[in-house]
Amino acid sequence: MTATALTLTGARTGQSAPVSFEQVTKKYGNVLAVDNLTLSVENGELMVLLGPSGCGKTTSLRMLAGLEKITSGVIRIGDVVVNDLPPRSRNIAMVFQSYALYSHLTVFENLAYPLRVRKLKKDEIKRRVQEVAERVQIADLLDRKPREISGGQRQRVALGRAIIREPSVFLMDEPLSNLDAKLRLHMRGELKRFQRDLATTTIYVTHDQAEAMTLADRVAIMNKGVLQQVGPPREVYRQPVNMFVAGFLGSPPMNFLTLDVQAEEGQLWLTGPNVRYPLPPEQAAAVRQASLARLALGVRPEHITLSHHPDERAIPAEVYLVEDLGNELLVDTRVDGQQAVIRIPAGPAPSIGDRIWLSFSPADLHLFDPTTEARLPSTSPAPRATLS
Amino acid sequence: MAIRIRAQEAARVRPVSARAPWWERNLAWLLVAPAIAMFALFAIYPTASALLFSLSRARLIRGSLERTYIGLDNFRRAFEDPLVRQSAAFTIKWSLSVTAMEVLLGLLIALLVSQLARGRGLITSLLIIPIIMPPVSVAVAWRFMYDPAFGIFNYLLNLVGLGDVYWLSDPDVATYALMAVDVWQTTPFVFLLLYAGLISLPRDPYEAAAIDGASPWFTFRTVTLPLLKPVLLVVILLRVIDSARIFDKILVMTRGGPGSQNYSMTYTIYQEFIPKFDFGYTAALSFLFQLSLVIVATIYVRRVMADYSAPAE
Ligand SMILES: Nc1ncnc2c1ncn2[C@@H]1O[C@H](COP(=O)(O)OP(=O)(O)O)[C@@H](O)[C@H]1O
Ligand SMILES: [Mg+2]
Repeated sequence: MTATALTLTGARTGQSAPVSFEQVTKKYGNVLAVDNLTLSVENGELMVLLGPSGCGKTTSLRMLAGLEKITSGVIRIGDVVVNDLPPRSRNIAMVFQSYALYSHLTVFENLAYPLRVRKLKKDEIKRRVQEVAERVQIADLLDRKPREISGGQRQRVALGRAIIREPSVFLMDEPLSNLDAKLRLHMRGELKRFQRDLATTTIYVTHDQAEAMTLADRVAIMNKGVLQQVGPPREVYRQPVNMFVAGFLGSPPMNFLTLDVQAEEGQLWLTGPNVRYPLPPEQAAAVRQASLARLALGVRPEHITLSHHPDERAIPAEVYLVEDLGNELLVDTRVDGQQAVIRIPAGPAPSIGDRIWLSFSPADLHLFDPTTEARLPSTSPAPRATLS
Repeated sequence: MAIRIRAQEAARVRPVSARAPWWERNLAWLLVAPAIAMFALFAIYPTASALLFSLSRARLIRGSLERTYIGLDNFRRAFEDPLVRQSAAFTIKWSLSVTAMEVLLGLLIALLVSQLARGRGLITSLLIIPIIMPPVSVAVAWRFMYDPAFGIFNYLLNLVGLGDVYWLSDPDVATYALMAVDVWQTTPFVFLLLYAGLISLPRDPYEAAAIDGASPWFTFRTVTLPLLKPVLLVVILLRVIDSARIFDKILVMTRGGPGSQNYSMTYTIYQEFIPKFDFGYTAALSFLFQLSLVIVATIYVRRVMADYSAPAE
């Protein structure tokens, strides 16, 4: 079945539409839930809003849906400013985190609800429900009430209810967070497929960075109500604009070593009580320009190689803990008391207390100003071939 | 339902050992024993003795009660008594009418108040006033207001140039005038229950309906009503049973009049008892009345409320 087959005859035909937030702010009393959000979502794009719990993702989504009043700013769907439109006039479909199914209605009636609202004919409704039910694989559950089906099945009903109409925009608020890990992976793939097939603008909220990275066309990372960075998953992963984004993406997260900057023998060194690391020339220029006394050095766990032999161009560390994940090892080390985690393929493991040396390619270094937490300008590493 | 489930869980959590002392093994029975004793004393005993009286001719003769067994004669008499038939019909009409009006009005007010941004507390406390007034005081106050000569209603009618209405003595008006008093006093009670039900409904389905495009009226029909139905059904049962026992207002305001038009079942029983002291016949009438209410309530609970007595999620 193609996307066009989902057109509802006799109903207002929804066309996928772009969405934009322009300087949107939401205050609950003194709580600043969303702070001056400006974000455009292109037509047909899957935008993921990513951030820790309480950062304002749900609030942003609910403002777009019309379930929450906007304190200031403008939200557009297509060309229409929707600030003052009630939810039912916005032609959006939403999958709630709690699914928000009609508990007193059967699965069939739940799916049929948006069509009944639009006063479609009975047999047309029946046909459409059957179609969508097959598509989300709940055709055998149509007579059940929501309490009589499993969490994964409820999630499918919620999804079915969203796709049965042809909305301009899909909104999904952590739709997978109530599923167990295996089902979550499976549904993640399905969602991606649905979205591709329907080619409808989708805004997807999650706090799970892996989910965000695999689903998104672009990711918008938020923290404390403030949008931090927007971009394709690879870009935000490789060129995080600040330490928050760098630390939020990737698992385990990026390591940060805060070290002193010293100029000696005609070059820059990053130093600590036991560290004396010559800053690669590619990076030195940017640090000189910023004239920083201290620097946060960021390296992802998978970009560090580990050696048992002293090396002048490496950073000495002590093994604190080794976690064996079967296919790989996580080596937790201490560098002058600061934590650095290294991910290496399964193999001979260092022992706790070992003295080791950490080295990395200059291209994998991320440099941040430790006071502003911002990335130093023009220190972007050269693109790498693969994402790990 | 939730309470029943919790009691079962509690029982599962702490099985009582067979070697425990007898009072611990029978603790549950011991705990409900006082309640059962009270029930037996105040419900079973009077019912049983009423049943005994109903099978007898019993009269007060010179200060002593004389009783002779006469079988079902009292019941036969009851079924043939035109006043009993008439008051039974009145009671059914009364009960269904005031229940319908109170539930509709109560629901309407509850819906309006639940939409208010402010002032909910004030309105709710004002509406409690009629509930806490003794029915007899309410009836006395309304009787004055209905008074054709110096009551407020006719005064107002005269102000706008309309003639007097004989509120409580005009056969075309009296029943409705009486009903209005009951509706005035009891609608706030219905409102309170429905309002509590309304504000405890989940927000989720409303947001889903808003997003699915439902209009307020469609949302009311497809979300509010079905979700509120369990509460509505309980309220309707409470009001049908309670309003069928109407007595005080009728006694105070019209003594069943005009004529015997507004004789409720309880008023008829009272009329048979007070002047005539016919213990046997009034016992039979009381028994029949009580039995009808039990049958109505049982059928209602079994049939109408059955879907809602299954354990909730
Ligand atoms: N109805 C509300 N009243 C007051 N504060 C709220 C309300 N909803 C959310 N907040 C606050 O706004 C912030 C953002 O919340 P939310 O958007 O739900 O975060 P997220 O979905 O990213 O976890 C939080 O600090 C939260 O406590
Ligand atoms: Mg949320």
